[in-house]
Amino acid sequence: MSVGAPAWTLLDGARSRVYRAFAPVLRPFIANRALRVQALAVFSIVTALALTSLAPLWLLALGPIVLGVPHLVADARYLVAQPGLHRHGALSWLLFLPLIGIALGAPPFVGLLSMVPAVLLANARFSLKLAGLSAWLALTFAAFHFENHFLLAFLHLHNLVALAFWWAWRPREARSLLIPLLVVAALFFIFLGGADSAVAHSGPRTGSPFGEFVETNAPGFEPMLAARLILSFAFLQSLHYAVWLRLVPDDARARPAPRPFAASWNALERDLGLPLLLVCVVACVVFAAWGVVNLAEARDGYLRLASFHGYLELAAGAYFLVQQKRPAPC
Amino acid sequence: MKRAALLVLLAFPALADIPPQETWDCRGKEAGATCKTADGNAGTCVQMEFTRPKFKGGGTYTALGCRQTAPAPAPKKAALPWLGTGLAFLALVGAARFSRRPSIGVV
Repeated sequence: MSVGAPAWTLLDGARSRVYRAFAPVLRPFIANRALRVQALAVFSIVTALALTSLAPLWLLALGPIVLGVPHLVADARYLVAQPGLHRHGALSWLLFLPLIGIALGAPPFVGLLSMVPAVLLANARFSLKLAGLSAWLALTFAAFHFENHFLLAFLHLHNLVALAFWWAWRPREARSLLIPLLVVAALFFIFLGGADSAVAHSGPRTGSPFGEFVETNAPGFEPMLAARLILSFAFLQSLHYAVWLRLVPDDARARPAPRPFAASWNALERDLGLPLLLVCVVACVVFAAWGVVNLAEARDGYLRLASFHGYLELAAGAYFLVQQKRPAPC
Repeated sequence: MKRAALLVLLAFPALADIPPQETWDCRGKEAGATCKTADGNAGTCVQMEFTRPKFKGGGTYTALGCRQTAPAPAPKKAALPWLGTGLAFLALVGAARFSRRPSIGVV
């Protein structure tokens, strides 16, 4: 019997009842994966924009605490475990060394080093590998000479890397273009001032005032632009979580229809192993408890822990791009 | 000489009223505004804590001060050990890649 079996049975029962009650409305979404994922993506974009416009500080403070660790688990599952990135001998294990360096406080050019074994691992033509290594060199030059600017750009743009991953996961229909168009429209809305009023009245109890986010995530910018950059970050970070926790899992699954929670847990256990999963569950509980005691400190703690994952996404992206293959569905 | 000493004595309390250098470019600005630090580097206005001199009653107070945001000129030295580690890592990757190549047997 799997861990938490009674809980999964309860949840599966509740979901079945909801499906039966709303069968006429839900049937097309259950039967058609592309339609379901598209609807989930639209829902995620609208929800993220609404929360950004209403309570950006709560979104910035609570998002990493509640969804941060599960999204790291998804990163490890879909970028490493399922494609078997760790099963290529010594070279593949070397990929993780720079990520450990980043967790120990290494400068960003060290994190970028994980791109090198990733590119060399790819089963690709020499010219493509050369292109991958050239991209690594260019990024390394920027990270070494303009470290602060590089870190800022990386912080804001890595949220979009997740969207690119999701887009590349499966062949997309023309109607899927609606998703990137909606994201661009939402960013226009934020940068044209549509969510400005949220800056004045949100989250006094989050422990992190808006000025603190400006200082860390948009330093040196003119105040209005800095505020909008923070709002766009809140929006894109929420979307980043939605991509790794809802959209990619739905697209990566071999079975087109949603599967029971119990089966999902079993598949997760198969991919990552029970010990690692239990460590992740404990980490979730620790961050939640820490957040109750001191939300700002818990968020900082999570961000220190998660600093490696952007470089992992970059290395995996380089691997798939050079190999010119979609991340394989399980 | 006496006059000079008198001047210094008179100027001392006045000096104590001069706000800290960090606050100079943040006067009349809001938190998050751009500013220049005393060294001329780009910075951001943030709330800072300052200490009053003992003869002014001591204690601390907060005011907007300019904190440097531009890349500091020194970190290259701090990056040196990491640079060495990076080069060693690349050598290791090269060795792993080379040892991975299948050997061509002579038939």
